[in-house]
Amino acid sequence: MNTIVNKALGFFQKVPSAPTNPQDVSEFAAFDIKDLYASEDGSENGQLQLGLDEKLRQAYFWITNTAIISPFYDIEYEDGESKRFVFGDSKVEVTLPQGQSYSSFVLIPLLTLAVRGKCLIVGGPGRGKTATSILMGLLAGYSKTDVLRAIQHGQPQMTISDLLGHPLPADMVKAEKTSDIRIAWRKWLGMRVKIIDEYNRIPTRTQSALLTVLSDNYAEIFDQIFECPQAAWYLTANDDAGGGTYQVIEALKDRIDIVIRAFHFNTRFIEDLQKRIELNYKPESMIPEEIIFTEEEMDRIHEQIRGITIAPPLRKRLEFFCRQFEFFESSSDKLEYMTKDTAKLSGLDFRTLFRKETGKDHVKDLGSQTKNGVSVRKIMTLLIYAKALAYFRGNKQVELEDIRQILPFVLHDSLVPHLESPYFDQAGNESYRVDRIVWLRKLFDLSCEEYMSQDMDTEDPVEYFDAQFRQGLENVSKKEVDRRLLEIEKQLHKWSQEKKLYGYRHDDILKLKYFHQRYTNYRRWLQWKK
Amino acid sequence: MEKISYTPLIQHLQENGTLYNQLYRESELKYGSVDRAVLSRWMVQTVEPIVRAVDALYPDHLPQTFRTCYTYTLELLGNKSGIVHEEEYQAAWRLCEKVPSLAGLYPGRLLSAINAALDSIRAHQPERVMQWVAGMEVTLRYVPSLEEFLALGRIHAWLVGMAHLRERAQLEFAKLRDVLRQALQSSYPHLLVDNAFEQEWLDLPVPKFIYSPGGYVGYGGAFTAPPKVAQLGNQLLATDGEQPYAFFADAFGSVLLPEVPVQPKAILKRSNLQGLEAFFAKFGKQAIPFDDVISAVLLPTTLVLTRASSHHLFVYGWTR
Repeated sequence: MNTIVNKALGFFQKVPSAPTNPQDVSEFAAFDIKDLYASEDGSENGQLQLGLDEKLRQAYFWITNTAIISPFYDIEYEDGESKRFVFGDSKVEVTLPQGQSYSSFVLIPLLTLAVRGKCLIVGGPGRGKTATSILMGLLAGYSKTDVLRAIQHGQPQMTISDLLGHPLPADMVKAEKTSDIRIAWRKWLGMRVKIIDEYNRIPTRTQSALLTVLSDNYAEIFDQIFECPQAAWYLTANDDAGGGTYQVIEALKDRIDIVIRAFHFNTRFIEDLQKRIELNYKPESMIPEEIIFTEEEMDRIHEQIRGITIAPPLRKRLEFFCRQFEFFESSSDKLEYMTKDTAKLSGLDFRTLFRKETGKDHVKDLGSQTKNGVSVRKIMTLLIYAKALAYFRGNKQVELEDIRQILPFVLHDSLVPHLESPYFDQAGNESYRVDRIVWLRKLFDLSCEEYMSQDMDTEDPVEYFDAQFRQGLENVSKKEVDRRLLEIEKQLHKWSQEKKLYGYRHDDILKLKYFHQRYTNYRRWLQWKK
Repeated sequence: MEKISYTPLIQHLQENGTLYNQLYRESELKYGSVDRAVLSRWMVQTVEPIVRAVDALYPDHLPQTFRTCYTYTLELLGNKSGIVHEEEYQAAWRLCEKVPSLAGLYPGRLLSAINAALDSIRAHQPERVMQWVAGMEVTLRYVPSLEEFLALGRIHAWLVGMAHLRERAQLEFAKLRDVLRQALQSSYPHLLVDNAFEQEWLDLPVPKFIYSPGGYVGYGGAFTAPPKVAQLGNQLLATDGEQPYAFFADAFGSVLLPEVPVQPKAILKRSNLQGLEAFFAKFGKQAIPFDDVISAVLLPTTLVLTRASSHHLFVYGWTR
């Protein structure tokens, strides 16, 4: 009997064989000053990387195959012709992807660990939210005891001291000034994986203290500062819609990089549960050593992820998508202030202002589907997570599909849908009101279609001006500056002939105005220099 | 790929890797990525020898020297000048090896001056950049101060055709120490023998056609229409009706300086044929075979004229 149990446990500790995603591999292109000199040991930087992205994939497959029962492949990669089937009255389409696909519930926490992001896991009780977070702590090299002790369980009586630490009682009596009071900081503050369970049950005042740690990486009590290391954050919530004991403050919500939903349990896997009970199997106690990352390895992964490239055509698609949303024509009569932010700050009803935007095709205008734009923080998050996904897949360049797959999770809580938009009333679009992941992915697809229809890859005047400007102004003559200014003015005139103004054009116009201003200032400087 | 092998420099790079990676990223944000092989070639062939020379003299100045060279290299490679004109810049930067004391004390000012000189010479006398570098190389070992380096740079620039520096070069030459003057004279014997500072044209007893700068803008010239010349004070100006230029010419070359603060209309208004008539009166008509001259300026030893059928300036010179 013992032999059978040992064999079974050995199976649970088995790490998937490498390569988990076979493909051509080549050296990473990111610059390092080390490349310029001959190192004593003669080692090459690229060699270590090959092991680390593979190790990350092995960790993913170990979790999905043996630790967490998550038989969902919602991050789909197609490789050739995939078979499709349609079910039910709603004609729901199921695709059988030919490429390696992943479960967002496992993959995104793993990517969060790699990029040291802040991940919110939302879902009902018993869906494995906390278990996934604990596994991430274990993968980062902490012991189970350390990880369990470090979890901050949100509860209505949680104080700032509970969260951050206590002043030493002896110092409280002796100290003549607050800076003399030493603080017994909580151990979790110094960890590289931080888990806040049920964060929406933390009282508002304590949430503010949490915000400081989350956003600025330091904690403060009695004028004493604790500098926290860069960490991956996992926050869980039973009900993201504010149904916890306390309303989550906006600033805290805004700091969260990515949101995932815990899936329901597929009852066809109850047999697996039964086996776990019989074998007394606890994945967190049996994590294989081969997939545990050292601090140095995590640093290296982070560095390599930043080195993943995003090709200009891809970045342009992302730029085109992001600039659809902020523009709001009825909020001002000056182009710079025609934003949804202006409308929000005014306190006026968004719907009332929206109704003033007449004459535009609101079904076609993607900007009509949201109540806000995409923030800088979110764009940066999107870029780093897209890089992380490409890295995880063993690529050295981000693909369009990487952005398409990761984008809905990054913008899940930050791009607020304008549910009264006529777009949602169109036949077949009603479900987008309910499911944000699918809506955001559709939104990106529509934006890419529009991008292609405008032939922006070859016909983008701003790119032309940008390339010219990037060459620098050194040694550019006044005559040349005058020529460029005239070109900008001609382009603006051309655009001014278009009847309707859409979000993507808003940023284009402002960028040309920026170039115009830079050239004008340079021309003035040239004249002064003479 | 070539790699840096100088041990003190490698040690410095190992200790300050983050700083140099950050500088690279800043440059990458501004200009885009730089070809690693080209950067490496620059570091090994140009920067490392400078650093070696400086380190031998002032070991404490190695970090500052390398950092400056690295920053300037990134800038040159980023804006592509260091790739398009690699040979010229590398040769010019190697001048720093000859003056390690200056390279160690003022690396930024030295490289900045060299780059500015190359830019300027390339704009007016593109085929003579290497001549300037060679001239500097011969006389450089006598230079102990930055001021003398700059003065020498201007004199050599004038000698490779930057005619607008003539007066300045004359002043700088007068202030030079004897050893430097002698070095210059041995490189350019006619400097004093032929009295090059006093005479714009050397050994020309009668007026002679020298050269015809300018040209149509479509062929890389300066003018969109046949230009006209006029004299304003001591200054000779030329314009095609759109862009005004100041014109300087002597035996070493000519320069058309753009963007002078004069309205093209004012130049056109002052242009005339009086200079040509005075020239005819003094030297006769046989030297000028054209019948479509539209403007001319007569200076003490120079005649500059323009024609209705040409985008060039025609320069005649004679020794005083």
